[in-house]
Amino acid sequence: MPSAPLLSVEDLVVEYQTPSGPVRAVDAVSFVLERGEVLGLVGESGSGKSTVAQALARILGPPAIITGGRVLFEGNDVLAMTEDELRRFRWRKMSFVLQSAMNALSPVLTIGDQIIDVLVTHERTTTRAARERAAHLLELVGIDPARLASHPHELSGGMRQRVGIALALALDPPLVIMDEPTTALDVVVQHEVLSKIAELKEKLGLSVLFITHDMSIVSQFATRIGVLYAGRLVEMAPTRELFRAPRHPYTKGLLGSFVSIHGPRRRLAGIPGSPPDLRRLPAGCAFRARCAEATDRCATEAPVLRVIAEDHPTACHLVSP
Amino acid sequence: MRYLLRQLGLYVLAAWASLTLNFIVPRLAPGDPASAMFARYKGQLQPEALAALREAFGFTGGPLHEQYAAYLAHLFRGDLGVSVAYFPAKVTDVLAMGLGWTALLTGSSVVVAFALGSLLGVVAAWRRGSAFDATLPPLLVFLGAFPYFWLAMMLLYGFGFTLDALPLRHAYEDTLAPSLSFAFVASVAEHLLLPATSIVLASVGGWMLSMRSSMIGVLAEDYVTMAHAKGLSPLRIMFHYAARNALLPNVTGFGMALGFVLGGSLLTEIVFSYPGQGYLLVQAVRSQDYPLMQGIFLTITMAVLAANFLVDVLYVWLDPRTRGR
Amino acid sequence: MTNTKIPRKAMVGLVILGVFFLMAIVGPLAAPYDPSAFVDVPLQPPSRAHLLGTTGQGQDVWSQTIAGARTSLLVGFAAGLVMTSVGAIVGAIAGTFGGLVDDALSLLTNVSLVIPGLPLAVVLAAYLPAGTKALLVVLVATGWAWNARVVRSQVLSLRNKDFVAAAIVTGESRLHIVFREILPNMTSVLASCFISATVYAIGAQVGLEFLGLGDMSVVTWGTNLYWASNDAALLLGAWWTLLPTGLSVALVGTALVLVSFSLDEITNPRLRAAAASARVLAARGIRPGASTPVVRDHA
Repeated sequence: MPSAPLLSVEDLVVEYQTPSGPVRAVDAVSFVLERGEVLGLVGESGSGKSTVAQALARILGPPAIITGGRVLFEGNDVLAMTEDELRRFRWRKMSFVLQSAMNALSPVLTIGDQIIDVLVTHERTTTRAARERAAHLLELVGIDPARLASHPHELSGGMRQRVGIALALALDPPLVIMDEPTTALDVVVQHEVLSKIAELKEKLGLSVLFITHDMSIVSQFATRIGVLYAGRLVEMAPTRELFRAPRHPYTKGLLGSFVSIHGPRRRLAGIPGSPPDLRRLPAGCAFRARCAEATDRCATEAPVLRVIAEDHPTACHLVSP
Repeated sequence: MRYLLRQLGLYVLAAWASLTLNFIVPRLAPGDPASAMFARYKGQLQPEALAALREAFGFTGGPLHEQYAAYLAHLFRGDLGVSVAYFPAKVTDVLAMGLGWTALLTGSSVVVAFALGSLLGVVAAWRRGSAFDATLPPLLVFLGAFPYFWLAMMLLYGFGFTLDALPLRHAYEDTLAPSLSFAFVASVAEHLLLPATSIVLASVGGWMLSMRSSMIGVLAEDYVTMAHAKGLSPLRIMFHYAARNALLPNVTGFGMALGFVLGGSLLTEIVFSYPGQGYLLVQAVRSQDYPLMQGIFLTITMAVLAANFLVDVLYVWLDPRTRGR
Repeated sequence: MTNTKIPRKAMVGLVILGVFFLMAIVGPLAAPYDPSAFVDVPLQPPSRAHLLGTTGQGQDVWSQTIAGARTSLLVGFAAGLVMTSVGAIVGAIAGTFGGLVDDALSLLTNVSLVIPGLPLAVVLAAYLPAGTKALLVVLVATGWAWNARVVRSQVLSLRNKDFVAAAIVTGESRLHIVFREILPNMTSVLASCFISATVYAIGAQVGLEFLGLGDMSVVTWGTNLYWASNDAALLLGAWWTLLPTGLSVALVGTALVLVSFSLDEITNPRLRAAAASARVLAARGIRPGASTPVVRDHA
């Protein structure tokens, strides 16, 4: 029997408990992430991609609750862990680089404090040894170790995000989840941070779950890409395959162009309409209202994920194998 | 540092404003109460004392700006006139008797109430929606709605009078002379307990509520999510990451609230005949001792402004972002 | 908003306030005795003849509590209204005009905020002729600044809204904008200000009268407590001379605060949603502060 994959998510369901009833933010999402792989999760804001990421370590705050599924990490179900087991699991096995470089670090603590405390908590080392390791980590991401004594506001956005990456690598975890790691940055800095991530990935052999709304960024890294819409996975394929032959109309929209068999490629300004209100999801396919090719069947029956081509499941009535 | 300088400027201005108010109010009041006051003192005070008092208040008979200059000159020499209630003691000497006791009572109860209220607010926000969070805030709001001095009277009645467990009045046992002996310190602590408790009970709810709401905002911040993701212990997340940030707006509010709590604390002193500024204030009101009243107003204002500045220094220490500014 | 149900907190607050208003308005007609008159043996405990007992001056405590409600609530609410108006005008002008006007008014507000209220109130009250008018002046002078600060910051956030920008572009006068565009759009903030000002006014009024400032011959909640304390009622064990008045002050204060909480939740829908979510989770026995709970309903 082959060893368990690094991460296997099965039918994960996350609901927000609101006064007007539960809202399903993640609906039966499944995927597998192998060792050494970079899996991209792509979607607009509100598609549930960050919710998926945070549910994996069960760090979603109220009013979120997980109502179904399994999250198997190296074969162990995270959803069945006790609080103590979870605390030991977090960061050692799965660390995070969060979206906003501004807010992911506490403004009143120094950079050093925030790297050292994770080392001391998990490795029971001395503060001194932790400080040396923290200095080494900063060097790894190209920041002067003297910055350990700085507070976040004294650093530029790009530096803060690199500190975030150093922090994520502190315990040498098998999986790093990067949730929009470059969104708050300007283009030049974005490029700088991305190449740092690419370099470290090669050097350390990281597995990464890379979450973004930007297809062009994810294409540089990801071995495979999953597309989320309204809390559901609508398509998943190896990166090259997805770019070459996107099947779901939403994926096509995200890629910025419809590939027409008959005519030349034509640019699309984007996807018309806005993401649906999760509190009032229509019957049938959630993307129907924005889909130019929707049929009557789309209005009544929600499409399920079917394997269309090899390693390429899609949830759309319009595509057939 | 610019932040501290700006605050200091504000306090200097406030100090000047209160000195000036002190000068203007007796002159603006309808019916010339100042003259009435001097007329009334005529029987009680010797002519020289009356003249000295006139001087200290700047009632020199000259034009207003000269009066103001005379008033300021006396003030900066530390001359606030003589007290009528404690004649022939100087107002400054009378004030000095009470200042320490007020600082002790108000200082200790404000610090305890702030610390306790903030702690309760942190826990209530952390356990949001729990039985603790659902019952304690309304209860403390209700307690806080009673006048401070009323709670003081009830405590006095319950613990001092009915149970006879704690002393009813004064700051220490009359048989003891102030010294650093154990007996004296113990007696001071025993006498402090009831008045301080009533101030804490009345003010703890406000601190709890503001800390709770600031904490709820902070708990939604990314750095708290990060702290969870880092696998830190709940206590460390709660205090080191969340509460330290949530405390900042509360510290800013502390200075503002100080003056308010102090008002309540002065009235509490009266209930316990605690020999601080509040007790002097009621003596001043009863014997229409205007010099003493105004002296109390000035000293307390200066003390509050100084305390505010200390809080600002503390704030700069707590929030590294203000240091560069 | 389709949900027009009054929140439970506000309901409780409004009912309490209603009872006290009723007491203040029709109470004196129904009071068994003249509140100032000597009617029976002093310091009698509650009995059938005197529901809440008698004071050290032989007055009926129940009648005094009712009479006190009328005067104290009247002064409290009137002072609250004036304080809110002064604060709103100063704050709105500072916020709308900006520049030097704002700098000057903000400085005035901040200076007024850091000067402790009670000692200043005592000096003012001591020099002014005792009476309701003087009390109002004292309360407003020491309590307006907080409202000015709240209103100013609210105006600053409103200034960027479309309808204000539109008014500025169409060349409306600044004062017109203040009174026609901005203040009407912040009624709930003004209501909160009014409530906190009233709470302050009632508390400060009771405190000043307890000190012996004001007209001690008028029956108010503050003078009731002053006389009770003067007559050393407590040391004679006469708790009933203090309890009704203190409870009344606290109940009115709590009721006002409850209404103000509900107003905050209405102004700030996110606050309300979060509070409601917390209740939903708590009802399901889910403790916040821990890891994301796993609840398998349909397992």
